[in-house]
Amino acid sequence: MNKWDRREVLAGLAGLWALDLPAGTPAAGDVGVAFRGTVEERAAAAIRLATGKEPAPFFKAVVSPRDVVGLKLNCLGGRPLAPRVELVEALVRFLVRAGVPEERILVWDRSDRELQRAGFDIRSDGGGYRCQGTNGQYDKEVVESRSVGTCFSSLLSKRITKLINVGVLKDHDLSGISVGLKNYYGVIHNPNKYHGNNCSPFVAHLADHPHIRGKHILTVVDAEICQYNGGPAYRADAAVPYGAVAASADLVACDFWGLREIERIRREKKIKSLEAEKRAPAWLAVAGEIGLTRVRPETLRVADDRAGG
Amino acid sequence: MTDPARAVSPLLPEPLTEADRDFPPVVTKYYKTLDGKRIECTLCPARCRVADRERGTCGVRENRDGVYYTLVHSRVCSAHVDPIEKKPFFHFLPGTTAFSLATPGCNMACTFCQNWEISQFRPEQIDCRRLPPAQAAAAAKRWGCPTVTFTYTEPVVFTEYLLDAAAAARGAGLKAVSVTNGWIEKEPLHDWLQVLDAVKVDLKAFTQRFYDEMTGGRLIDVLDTLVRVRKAGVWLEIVTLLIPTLNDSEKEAASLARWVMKNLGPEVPLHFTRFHPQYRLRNLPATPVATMERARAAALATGLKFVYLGNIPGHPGENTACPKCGKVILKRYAMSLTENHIVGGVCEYCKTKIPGVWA
Repeated sequence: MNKWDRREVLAGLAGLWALDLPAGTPAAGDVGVAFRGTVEERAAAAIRLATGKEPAPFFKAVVSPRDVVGLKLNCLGGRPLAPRVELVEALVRFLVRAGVPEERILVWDRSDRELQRAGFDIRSDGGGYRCQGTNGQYDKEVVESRSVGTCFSSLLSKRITKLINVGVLKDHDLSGISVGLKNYYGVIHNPNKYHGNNCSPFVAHLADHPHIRGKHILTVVDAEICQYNGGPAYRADAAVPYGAVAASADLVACDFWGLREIERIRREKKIKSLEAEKRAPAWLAVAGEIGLTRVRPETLRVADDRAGG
Repeated sequence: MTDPARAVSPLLPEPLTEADRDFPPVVTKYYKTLDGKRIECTLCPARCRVADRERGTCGVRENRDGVYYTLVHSRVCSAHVDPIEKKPFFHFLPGTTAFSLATPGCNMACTFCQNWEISQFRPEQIDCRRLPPAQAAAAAKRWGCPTVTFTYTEPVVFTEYLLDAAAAARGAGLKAVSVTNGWIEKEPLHDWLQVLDAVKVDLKAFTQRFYDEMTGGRLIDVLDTLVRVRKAGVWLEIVTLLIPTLNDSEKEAASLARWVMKNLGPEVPLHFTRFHPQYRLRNLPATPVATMERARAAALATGLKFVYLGNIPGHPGENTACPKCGKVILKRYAMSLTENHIVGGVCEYCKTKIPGVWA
């Protein structure tokens, strides 16, 4: 497949193959998925499986002590369906071990309130990592990113120099899924203007902006549960335990993996596919067309720590 | 009148955003319940289907546990005293001032919006003040304004506030008018027309292509609104911003004017206003005056009696001429009235009745 065709991308996902690696295997997949151990151990394993490096050396290679590292969370679902504090604090510890001063690590989402509802304490000063919402502080100037015109969170545009996307594994009523790229709707002032056409091509076009594409170093997905339907808010009757942390250094690969998993569980639950519900994430093909990913869905390698154990 | 404080859902044990404490969400009546806590908004033809915890395209209405709320009742981001000519209304109480209000939000996303800093943001992103309907009417009286105007952003998205504030204005002996893109469903429009004295509609262009590419709205729905406002007998004026190369051809101006002539009649004022680079459309120059004049000539040639030019201070196209004797009966400069020769609704010179609201 030379051209990125929406149908072929979605069809290609059925053929994703997993690298069933023994636990601790350093070889990298495009996406690392870890089910074993504590949350911190899973996070470390997912990064190792995705990058071939332990977390500290990985971060040391892509981040300098002068960087301000932003961890963009997806807290819309509240405590049941937001990245867990334990996972985020594990990532903070990895960064600190890599030499990033703790006060140069910023955990953030759209508002303080959303962060608090997800269980985070607001920490805008003092010791330790920072945790705060954009809280209406958006740039005064509108910028263009292909079809998207918007004002970015000033935290991202003015302070953050390296970006970690911390999402969850969930269905989205409009965009099909909200795993990786869709989380970046939370860094702009007007996400509601880009919900048309199932958010396509807008999710991809937004991520093409240098504030995102140029700063992204890692995507981490807290897949403790998978909400396979009824998102983006939490719905207990449409969520199943999943028990993993996933990671990828690629901007888009976690979305390919997340789509596959959500569709697989939807099949198990005997509910229609996203394609059948006319809300398949066509923006994934756009992401490929504009070069946001080096990965192709039909050859995506998923490194999983469960095999061989 | 809805009391927003009382309309807050008992389902909400605590405010969900910091601003809820100051601006209590109000349950809207313009929605239908769907499965799985989803709703369909029936306020405007966008007909947003909104999942729990999400908002419609306007950004000011939110689904919370399957109940749809407006977040902008009494949540005012702009309040000014303007000449009524600034709206522009040229046949409605000329020379008076309008107490002009806006809340954040819009259901379109025009790339050339001149008020994008309030229309294209969410309410919690903008500094707002609480101004309940009765206080809005009282403020208008205090400032000597005979009219309360809903303007700057898009009143469609704050319909509940508009309805309550317009009713309060009327109760205080004032008039109420709205400046809108006209992209509204029939039921809320019907409600508007019970409480408004005049409506100015921005007819953005006369092609669906322009609406698709530049606004996110739909032409056919706006045309339907124009007809409904006119049929209801509420005073109507129309404004079209002419943008170089996008909607400024003589042919399009003539087509638009012919439609107005046929469907609304010759007495509805049509304003062509001059574009200046704004927001996401900064690569185009201001509209040449000659282009504006050609559009006006084309519209007048269809038989329309009142075709104006705006954003060209001092241009004769700002003035109102009596359609019978041809004399200037309302002379303006920029947004101000400088001469008024209409007495009792008729031309001072030839006694021809001039359509409009004059007292």
